[in-house]
Amino acid sequence: MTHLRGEDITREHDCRVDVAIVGSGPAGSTVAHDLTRRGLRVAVIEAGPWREPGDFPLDTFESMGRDYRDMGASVTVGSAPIPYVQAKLVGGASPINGAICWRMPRDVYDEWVARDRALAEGLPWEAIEAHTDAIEALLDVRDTDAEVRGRKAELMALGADALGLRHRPIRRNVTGCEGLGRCMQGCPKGRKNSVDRALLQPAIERGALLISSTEVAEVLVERGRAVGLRGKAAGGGRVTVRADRAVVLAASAVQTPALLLSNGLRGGPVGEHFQCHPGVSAAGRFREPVRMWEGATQGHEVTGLRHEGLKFETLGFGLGLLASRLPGTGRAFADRVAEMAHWLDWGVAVRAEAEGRVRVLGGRTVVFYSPTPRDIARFRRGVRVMGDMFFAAGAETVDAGVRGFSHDLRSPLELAPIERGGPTSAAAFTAAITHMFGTCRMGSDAEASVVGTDFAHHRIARLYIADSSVFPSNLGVNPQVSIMALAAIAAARVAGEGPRA
Amino acid sequence: MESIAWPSFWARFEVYAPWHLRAGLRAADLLIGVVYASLRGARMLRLDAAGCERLVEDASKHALLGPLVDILKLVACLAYFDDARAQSVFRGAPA
Repeated sequence: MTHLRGEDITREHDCRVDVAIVGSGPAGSTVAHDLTRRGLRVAVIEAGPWREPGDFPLDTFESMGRDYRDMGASVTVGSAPIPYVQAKLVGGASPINGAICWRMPRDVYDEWVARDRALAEGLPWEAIEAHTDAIEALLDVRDTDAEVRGRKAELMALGADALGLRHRPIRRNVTGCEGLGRCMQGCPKGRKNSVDRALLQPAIERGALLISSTEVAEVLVERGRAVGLRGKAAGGGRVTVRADRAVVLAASAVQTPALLLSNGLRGGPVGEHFQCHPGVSAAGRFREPVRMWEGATQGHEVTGLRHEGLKFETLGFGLGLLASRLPGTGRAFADRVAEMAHWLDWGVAVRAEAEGRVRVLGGRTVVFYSPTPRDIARFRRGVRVMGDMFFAAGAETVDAGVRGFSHDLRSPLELAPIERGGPTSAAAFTAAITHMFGTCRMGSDAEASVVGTDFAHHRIARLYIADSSVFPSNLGVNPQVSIMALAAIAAARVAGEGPRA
Repeated sequence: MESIAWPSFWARFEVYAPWHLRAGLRAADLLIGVVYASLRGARMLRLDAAGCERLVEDASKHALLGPLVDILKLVACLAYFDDARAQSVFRGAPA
């Protein structure tokens, strides 16, 4: 089989396979990879296009316009409009993320099992560990090399040491990084071992069919069984894929429930329990040039407050996005842009407790989400700690990115009020959401969950869900590898096997 | 900013940007440039550079208008750094 570009599909296209998969991100690519290794005929339908390394643009505008859903400008509806970022290209977010790889934290797994004992049988810890080992080997996951970590990482290490916080180089799925700082726009050198290259390409070579630039609109259900998918290609043609064995949804924690809801497949808490990691950022200005755009996009992290639901990371954006985050307007802003080489942005990913929901209203997908007061307290704490780290690392001034506070905080004393009596609204913070979970939750109770511990839909036979929407909660860490480990177990279930590797 | 290739940028912005971003941008333009300016007894087009700057700065501190100024800033920055000349100022000449 091969790769059909949706742009070239101008007429009706029908095909028949064993397993039809929606989405080619970490979950969909893993399922395709593992099922083709078992000799099954697989088709993967992806809404976005295939990109070669040479296609990835230098800066943000072109990247956001082409490779992010809604130009990266989807926003939640709730107490504050918070942007949530979704990719739209083959490989999902993998080609355009920070390449951060975390094994599933044991404490999070234990929380899941404490909620529902059946998960211990459906998702045995040793199976997750074994699949994770295999995935890390396949993606060549390793510590970010010191040579490409950049000054921003050295300064974060300095700040964390001063505060006595545990920190480390970020483990990433990158081989031979040159430190171009362009992970979020896609690596132009092809050094990121993203899932499109590491898993989907081998699956295609083994016979999988990839249909790109094709938006799936229908899950075909006959007599209570999922039998295929139907969508519309960018070229205007209608695509129908019949599946003799199973249909697997792996389109993300937003798109998967949206697809179910728009098809009237509402059984169980579809779209409920939306969880995520709101990220809040702050900036520090240093006397020396730190050239934030140089070095690995995200090469260092502070893990010492993970037990509080806070994980700090170095950040890297294209210059356009970076400049827009500098404070002020007018001439003062222009002056800051001119000296942008002196500014550094760090971010904190918050393990928020809030739960939202995904709905389809008037044909549009809407995410309702409002952080809780305790989440906002975590935002305040995260900003304060970032500011303290900036000062400890030698920053002259800090912009906490908090509305109502000075853009030029000059000491930890000026920062402290943010944590103690800062804003109680998410609208006051510079925030964005990545990493979404829970909207088709897994569990043994068919009323309280959408899929069973075998990833099979409770109500529709031969329908499986394999992405982070099945996660019972958020993780507090970057989920790519955990998604892939669970998707590997899902693939085994689709193939009629047990969960163990 | 004057030498940026605005027509090329806007043409692609119309293709890439979702409806709510395009609407938000127009609303920001209208609310700040017309409504807010009028409330302060001014017309944006008749303000000198310093007057425009003060208007936008004040709007940025306003609870409701502040996020709209952020949208304007974002789009202006994306347009500015969409230009290879602006990139080269910071990154150096392309290899």
